[in-house]
Amino acid sequence: MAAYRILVVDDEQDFLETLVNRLIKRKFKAVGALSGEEALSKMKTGLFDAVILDVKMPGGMDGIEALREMKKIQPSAEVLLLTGHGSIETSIEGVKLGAFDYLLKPVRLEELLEKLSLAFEKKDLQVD
Amino acid sequence: MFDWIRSIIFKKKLRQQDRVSMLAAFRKKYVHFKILLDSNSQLLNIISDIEEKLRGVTPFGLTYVRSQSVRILFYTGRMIRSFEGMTGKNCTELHAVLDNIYTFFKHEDELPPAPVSDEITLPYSRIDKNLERSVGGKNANLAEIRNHVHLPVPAGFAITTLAFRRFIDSRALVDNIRKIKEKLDIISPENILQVSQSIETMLLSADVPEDIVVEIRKAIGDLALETGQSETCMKVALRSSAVGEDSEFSFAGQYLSVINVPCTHIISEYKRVVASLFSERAITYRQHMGIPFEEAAMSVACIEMVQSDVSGIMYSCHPFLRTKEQVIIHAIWGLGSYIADGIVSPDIYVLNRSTPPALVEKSISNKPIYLAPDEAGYLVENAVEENLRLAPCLSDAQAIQLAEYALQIESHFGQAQDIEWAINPHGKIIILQSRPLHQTTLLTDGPSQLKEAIPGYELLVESGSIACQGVGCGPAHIVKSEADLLNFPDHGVLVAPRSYPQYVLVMGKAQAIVTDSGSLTGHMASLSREFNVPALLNTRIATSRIQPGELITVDALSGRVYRGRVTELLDETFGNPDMSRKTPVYNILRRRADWIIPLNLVDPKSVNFQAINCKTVHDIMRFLHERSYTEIFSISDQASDHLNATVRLNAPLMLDLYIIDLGGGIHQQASGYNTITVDQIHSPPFLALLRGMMRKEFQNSEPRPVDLGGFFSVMTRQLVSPPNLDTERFGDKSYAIISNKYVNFSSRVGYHYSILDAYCGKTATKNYVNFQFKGGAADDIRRHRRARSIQRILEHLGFIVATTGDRVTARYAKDDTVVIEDKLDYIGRLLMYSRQMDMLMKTEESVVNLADQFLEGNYMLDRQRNQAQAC
Repeated sequence: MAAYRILVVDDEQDFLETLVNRLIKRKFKAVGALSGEEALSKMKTGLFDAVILDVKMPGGMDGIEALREMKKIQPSAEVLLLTGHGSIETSIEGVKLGAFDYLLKPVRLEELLEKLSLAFEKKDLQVD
Repeated sequence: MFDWIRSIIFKKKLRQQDRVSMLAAFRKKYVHFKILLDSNSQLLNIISDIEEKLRGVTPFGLTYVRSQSVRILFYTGRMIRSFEGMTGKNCTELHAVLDNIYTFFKHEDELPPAPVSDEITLPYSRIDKNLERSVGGKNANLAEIRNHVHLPVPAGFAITTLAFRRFIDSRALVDNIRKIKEKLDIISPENILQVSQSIETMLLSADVPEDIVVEIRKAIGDLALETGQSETCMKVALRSSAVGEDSEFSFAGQYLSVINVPCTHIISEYKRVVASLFSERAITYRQHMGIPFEEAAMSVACIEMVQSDVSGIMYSCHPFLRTKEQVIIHAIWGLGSYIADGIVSPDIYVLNRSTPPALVEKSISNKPIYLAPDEAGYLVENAVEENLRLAPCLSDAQAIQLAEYALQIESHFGQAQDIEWAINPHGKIIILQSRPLHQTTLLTDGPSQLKEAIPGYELLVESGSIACQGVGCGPAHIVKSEADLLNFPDHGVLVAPRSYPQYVLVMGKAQAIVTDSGSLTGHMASLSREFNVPALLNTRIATSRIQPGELITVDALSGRVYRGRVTELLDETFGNPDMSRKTPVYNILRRRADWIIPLNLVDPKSVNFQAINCKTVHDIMRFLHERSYTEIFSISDQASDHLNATVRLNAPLMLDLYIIDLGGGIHQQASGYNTITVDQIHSPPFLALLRGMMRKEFQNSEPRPVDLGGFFSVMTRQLVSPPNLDTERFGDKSYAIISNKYVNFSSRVGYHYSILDAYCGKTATKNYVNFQFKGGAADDIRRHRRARSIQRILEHLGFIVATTGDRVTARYAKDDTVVIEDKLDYIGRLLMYSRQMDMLMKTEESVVNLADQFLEGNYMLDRQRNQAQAC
C-alpha cells in the first residue's frame, strides 16, 4: 500500500521540520510549507491525502484563506487545522469551508495521528 | 427461448448494477455518517469534561472555557455538515441554532478586557485589583489591602508584566521559548525538565533592556526614600506575582520569591524570578490546570524587607470544615518560609469568627530553629533560644488582632482568604500576602478521630493533620529527594519526611500523600487541595513505619494509615461535591453550559422531536444522532426493497440486530434474503465479535441479576432524572454495518449504549478496534464503578483506555488479524457481560471483583448477584 501523502503548513520552521520528520518516521510521505502561498503552490503540482494547516501565520495568507484556496485546488484533500490561537470565528469559518478537524496546540503526536487515521479511513471508504 | 434467457440475464445484470451503484451511494453516505459519529463522540467527551468542571472540584481558567467553546462550535458544525452530506439537504434550522450559540459566545468574548498599564513599574499607592493583568495577583491583592482595607503592608512597587513582555520580546526570547516548547509538545510533552532548563538558561543569560533597568532603579530610589533608608543598605524581597497567581489558581510555592536582596542584585534576581515562570514545577502545574504558555506573564513584587520576629499563615475559615466557623492561625519564630515548606511545626491558634474573635484553641509546638536574614543578604538558620522553643509565638491579643485582620480582608474580597503575615520587632502586624483560600469538598463533618479504626487491618499511623480530605490506596513510594519523584509510580502513595511544594510534579498520579511533618497551611497542603489528593501531614512516624512498595490505605478522614487495602474505606460514599466555587470564570462556563448541556429533545417518537425545537448543542447532537441512524437505514430500506441491502440477523442474541453489507460482509448465496443466520456472514471482524457474544454462558441468561439496592437505584434515577439518551433508547434496534474487513456495531443493550468500530485486514498497521461505552440505569456511583471495571478489563486486554464519569473509550490498533479478531471476541463477551453490571456495583470492591471474574473467564454473574443480595 502506498504511503499517505501529508502536507504540513506552519510558519514556525522548527516546528514544521520537527513535525515533518516525525511523520516521515511514521512512514508517511510528508512535506512542509512555510506559508499558505507555498502550500498552494505545492498542491498545484502534487496530490495530498491530508494537509495539517496552521491557522495563524502572520505576514502572509492566513490559514482560513489558505483553506479556502486549497479546497478549490484539491477538494478531496482533508485539511486539519492546527493552531495555538484558536478562536470561535476561525472554528465556525473552518467548518463552513470543509476543514476535517480543528486541533489546538499543544497536541500530542499520537492524538494527531489518530485524527489523521480517521481522515484516511474516510478516504479509503470512499475509494474501496 | 433464448430471448427469454437473455432477458433474465439482462435483468439480473441490471439488478447487480443497481446494487453496486446503490452500495456505492450508500458508502458515500456512510462516510458522512462515520464522521458524524466521530463528531458526536468528540462532543460527548467535551460535555462530560465540562460537567466534571462544573462540579467545582477542579479549577480551570478562561483558556479552558475558550478552547472548549472553539471545539464545541467546530464539532457541532461538522456534525450538521455530515448530516447534510448524508441527506443532500440543508439543515437551515440547525445552522440557525448554532449561529445563536456562536453569537452568545462571541458577545461574551468581546467584553472589554481589563485595563493594562503602560508603565514598567507601579507603586502600591497606584494599584488596585483592576490592574491585575499588569501587576499579577499578589501585587494587586496586597495593594488592595493597603489602599482599600487600610491594613499595614510593606512599602513596595510592582515591576509590571509590560516589563516582562518587553524583556522577552526584546531578545526574541518569546519566539525561542515558543519554538522550544512547541517542538517538545509534539515530541514528548512529558519531557518537561528539558523544556524548563532550556528556557530558564536562555532567560538567565539574556540582558534586561536598559530602559527597564533604569525604570526599576528609579523605583528603588523612590522606595528607599519612602522607607527612610539608603539604597546601599536597603534590602528588598522580590516575589513572583504572575498573572493568575493568587486567583482561582494558587500556584502555591511554584514560582520563585527571593528575600533579603541587596539593591545591587535586583536585576539579576529579577531575572531569576521571571525564569521561575518556566520552572519544571510551574510548567507541570500549568499543564495540569490547562493554562497555555501564552497566558503566562510574570510581574514581580519588589517590597521592603520586613524584619520578622514572628511570621505565619492564617486562613479566614477552615479549608474543608464549613460547619466550623473558625479562623486558623499558624505561627513560628523568624521568617515564614519554614511553615510554607513544612520545616517547622507551627503553633496553632483557632478562633471563632465572632466580633471580636474569641480564642477557642491554642496548641504550642516545639520550635527549635528559625530562619532570619543576615547583613550580607543571606538567609541563615538559627537555633531558637531554649526558653522560647516551647513558648507561644503570639499573645492572645495578637492572635485576636490577626483574626480581625483576616475577617476584614475576607470581607473585602468576598471570599475566604489564605494570608501570610509577619510581626516586626516593634510588635506591628504586617500583611505580606493574601489570596483566595482553595476550599475542597466537604466529605465528613470533620476528622472523625472518635470513629473506631476499621478492625482487621494493621494500623501504621494513628494520627496526623488532614490537609485534604479523602481516602487513597496504593503502593508506598518514599520520597526523600527530588530525584525520588522521577520514578514515582502511577497510583502510588507519596510518603515523605517533609511536605514540599515540589510534590506537585507527581500530584496528577498520586493516590494520597503522607508526611512526617508539615501543616494545614503549607504550600503543599494548598496544592493537595487543588489537585484533590488526600493528604495526611505531621504524622511524625510515617517514613519510619511505612515500607517502600507496601500497599497502604491512607484515611485522610480520620487521620490514619493502614497496611493493605481497606475496602471498607474505599467504598465510602462521599457527600455532594462542592458547588460553591463561583468564580467569574466558573460563571462564564456555567452560562455557556446552558447553551451546551441541557437536553430538551428527549423523545424521538414525540411530534416535538424536530430540528426547529433544538435549543442547545446537546439537542442538535441528539437530533442528528437519531436522524442519522434513521437516514442510513431508511435510505437502504427504501432504495433496496428488492435489493435486500438491509437484513435481519437471526441469532440467539436477545438483540434485534440489523445488518448492512458494504461489500463482501455476507456470503453471496445469501444475497436477497431478508433474514440471515450467522453461517451466512462472511465478515471476519463481525464474526469474531459474534463469537464472543454468542458464548454459551450468555444464552438463557435474561434477565440479568439485579439486587434490590441496584434496582431501587435504577428506579430512583429514572424518577429524579429527566429522560436522557440512555434511558429512552431501551429496547431499540441494534445495527451492524459490515464489509469483508470492517464492522461498525452500534448496540443498545439495557440502558447503556456502546459503539464498536473495527477494521481487520491483512495489513496490521491499518487494523484497529475502537470501542465506546456509556450509560446505564443505576445511580452515578454504580455507573462510574462499572465504567472503571470495564476500564480495568480493557486495560488488561491491552487497550488504551480513557474513562470520564460513566463513559469509557478504548482503542487497540496496529496488530495482526488474528490478534484483532481475538480482541473483538473479548469485546463481544464484554458487551454481554456488562449488561446491567452497574446494578451489581454495590461496593467499590466490585469494580475489581467483576473485572477479575471476567478476566478469569467466569461470565456468570449469578454468584455476584447472590453476594449482592446477601449484603
